Amino acid sequence: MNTLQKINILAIAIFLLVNLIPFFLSDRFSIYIVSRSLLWAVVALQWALLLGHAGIYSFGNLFFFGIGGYVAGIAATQGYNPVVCFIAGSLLAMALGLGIGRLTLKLKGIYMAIFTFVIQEATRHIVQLEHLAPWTGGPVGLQNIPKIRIVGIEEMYVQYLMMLILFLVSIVVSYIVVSGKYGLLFRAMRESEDFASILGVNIHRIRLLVFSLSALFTGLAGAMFALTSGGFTDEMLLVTTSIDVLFMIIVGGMSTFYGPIAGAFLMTFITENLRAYLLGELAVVRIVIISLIIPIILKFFNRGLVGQFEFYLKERERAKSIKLTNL
Amino acid sequence: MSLEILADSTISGLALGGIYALAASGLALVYGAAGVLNFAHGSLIMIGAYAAWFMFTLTGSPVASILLGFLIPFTLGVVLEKVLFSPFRKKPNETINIIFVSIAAALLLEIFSLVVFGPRRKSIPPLMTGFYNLGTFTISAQKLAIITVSIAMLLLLWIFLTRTRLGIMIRAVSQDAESAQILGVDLKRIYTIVLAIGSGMAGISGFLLGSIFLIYPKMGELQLIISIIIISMGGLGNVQGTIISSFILSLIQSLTATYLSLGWSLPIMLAAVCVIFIIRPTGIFKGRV
Repeated sequence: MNTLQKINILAIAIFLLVNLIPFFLSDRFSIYIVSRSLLWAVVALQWALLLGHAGIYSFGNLFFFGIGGYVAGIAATQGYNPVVCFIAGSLLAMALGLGIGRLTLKLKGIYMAIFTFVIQEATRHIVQLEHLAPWTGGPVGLQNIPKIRIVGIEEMYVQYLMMLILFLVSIVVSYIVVSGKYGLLFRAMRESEDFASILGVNIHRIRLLVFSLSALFTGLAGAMFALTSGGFTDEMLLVTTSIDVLFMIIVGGMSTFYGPIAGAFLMTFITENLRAYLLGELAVVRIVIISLIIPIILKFFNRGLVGQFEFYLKERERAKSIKLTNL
Repeated sequence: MSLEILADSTISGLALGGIYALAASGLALVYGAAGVLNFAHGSLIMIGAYAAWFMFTLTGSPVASILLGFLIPFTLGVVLEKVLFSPFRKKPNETINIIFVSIAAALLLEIFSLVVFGPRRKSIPPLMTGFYNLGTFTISAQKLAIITVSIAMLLLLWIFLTRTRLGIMIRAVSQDAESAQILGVDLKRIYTIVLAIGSGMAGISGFLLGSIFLIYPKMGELQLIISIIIISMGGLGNVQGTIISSFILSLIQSLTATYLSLGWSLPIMLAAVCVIFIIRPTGIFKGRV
């Protein structure tokens, strides 16, 4: 059994364990935490595809989340079927992802970071405009979006189930893409775009592919969030929300597949518990902790938790194989 | 009547432009010479405003408050470079790591001011009161004072960058850091000085902002976004381009606010940046620092 298989089996085992929680602890809070973790895991994973795998410095991935959420929410308040809302939200997000990818094919490094940051910020200001208030709700945001209901299942379980479906679909598709030929091409592009294109990689196609994939699932996550929580505000487009997700990615390790997912589960668990038990002063404490930990992790554990673990396993395997050849 | 409104909003635009130019030229200097997109720049503006407000309530002297408003961000800039940015220089993922770290610093500074000064909004009294009458036009003395102070500071920066040995070294580093190093420029020292000066400029613009708008812990966010827009238009790291584009942008902003609606001014500016990035990824103006 090689390192990759070991990690896959471990990840599946942990995932199953976490998903036993809603069946044994049937209190509202733990189910809420698990379903939120699944949601943020999808968002963090799709963001890390751009940041860590393809090396595209996207700083505004929540733009797609916001588009998915707002489009699905508006469609649902107009009385459309939830399936239509999901398709509309995710496909529009994907189309915008393709558009942004197409426009920014030649932008690199810091320019890309500013461009995406600016797009997200502009969207946040546009949805708050008074002229658009009949649709987006203006500064108050979308309220009273009709929630998804399944007859015979309690609301909190519906939320959990929808998030689980979203998570499984997104993770399976992303895993197939990342572990296959395209994942290799992503990493080749991350290491050096010029060199990869000399070797015959179609950089433009790869960039568009990774952008549309990331946008599609982030948009779907936004739509899912809007339709299961019943509200969508511009808070989701705030820089502080971006920082929360980026922090999950950094903690888990942005160049690994399981890193962002693990980071999302860990950080959602910690922050939601803090939010529940440390009322009022929490915002301050949480932000202080996050902002003190970010430089430390980046400096000393820049592979992230999962990345560090994978590195350890690989080193051990290498050491073993060296010992075997020496015999 | 309409001519008076036009004149008034132009003067407001120029005053705002001076403030923006101070903040954005600091950011452009830092990006141009030290290669850092400092996301803590907005928080440094806010810290400068709070420092100036503190000094003003203590002594009541504008000169003392402008000094403290300059000095505290100045030292914070040194600390940022020495503690947070330098460990990530010349390492893999330098650009993105420094962005992350500067965001962390921005959050910390915001929380610091929230805890120390509280959520209540503060304001620095106007530098000058009263109006000057020029025939049918009236110009507020406050706006004239802001324009004067900011242009004086920008001139000082220009003299520093072109006439002093240190300034010439900074420009050399921004053109080609490696060649400058070969010729004996101490890069670490230049980076520290550049961050200190850039942050000091942010502090002064915070002081001026505080004298027309309110001071609150989150005021830096908007200023950061505006500064980023301006330096992107001016071609990241180009100080002259930055100054020109900050005046253009502030005039557009104040005219849109007068004739269209306040809500649209920021989205229009942000859209303009996106278009500029797509058409000319290096900004409107060429050259650096």
